[in-house]
Amino acid sequence: MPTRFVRRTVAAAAAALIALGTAACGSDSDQGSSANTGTTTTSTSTGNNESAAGGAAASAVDSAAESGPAMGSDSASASASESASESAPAAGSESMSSEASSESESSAPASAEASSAGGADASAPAGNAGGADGLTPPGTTLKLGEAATVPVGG
Amino acid sequence: MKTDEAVVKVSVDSIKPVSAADVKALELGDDAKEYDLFYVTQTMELVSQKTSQKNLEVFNSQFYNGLVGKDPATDIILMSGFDKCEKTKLAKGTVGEKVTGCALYGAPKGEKVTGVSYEPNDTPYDDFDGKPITWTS
Repeated sequence: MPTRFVRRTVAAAAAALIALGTAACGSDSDQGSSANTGTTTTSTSTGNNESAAGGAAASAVDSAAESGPAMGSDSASASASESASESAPAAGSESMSSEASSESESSAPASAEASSAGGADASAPAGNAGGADGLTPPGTTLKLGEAATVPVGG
Repeated sequence: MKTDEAVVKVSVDSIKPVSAADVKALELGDDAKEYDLFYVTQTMELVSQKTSQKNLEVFNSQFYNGLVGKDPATDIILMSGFDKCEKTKLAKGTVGEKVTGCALYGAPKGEKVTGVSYEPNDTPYDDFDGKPITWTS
């Protein structure tokens, strides 16, 4: 019997952790539902997804999404149709949208950092941030004996 | 990692196999029999710095990965010194000063270490959300 109790406890804890993880990482679904309430939320949530995915490839998609057409317009039209059919739940949808917008605000600098840091060269290989200040751009391939100029800490 | 303390020029200069005699002298045990070992020598020149420092972590082994093709080589960390693969330290910490570094990597038996990547965490060169600098032979 005690063994059974422990198992249940572990299972419950695991379920709770999974739930927490879903809540924390599940900004996708949050933003998906928040897209019901507005275009702005939808476009920034797209950025959040990408910064969560991280990396150079993300920044390339970031800039595409920010500048407009592809992903932004698709999801915007989807949200418009959804808001038409689900327009009623006033208070609920407001709180969703405010949460989503605060999330998207925090996500904006994150994606900006990614693109200004290493990711910039993914969208614009020539105009890398690193190259401008005399540092070797991320992703550079050198031959043995060639020097890279990099910042270091103490 | 702080990356605003100094700017350095760093190069990977050579990748050479460790001789059988040297491998034997290292007494690495049976685990090492699965690998062919290689020295990687490096040079660093201090280009600029905000404050005078002699302990810049330029040759930290966590910043570099040996490469066997595109795969990572095995990092060989020696607890004792090895006079054929030593690092030098900044003596004065002044601009223009050069130091050398050396690291040991293992490639699966019959293969070679063909390159080295520089990928310190939390920098644009991070392999996770940036792009490493790579030297190839």
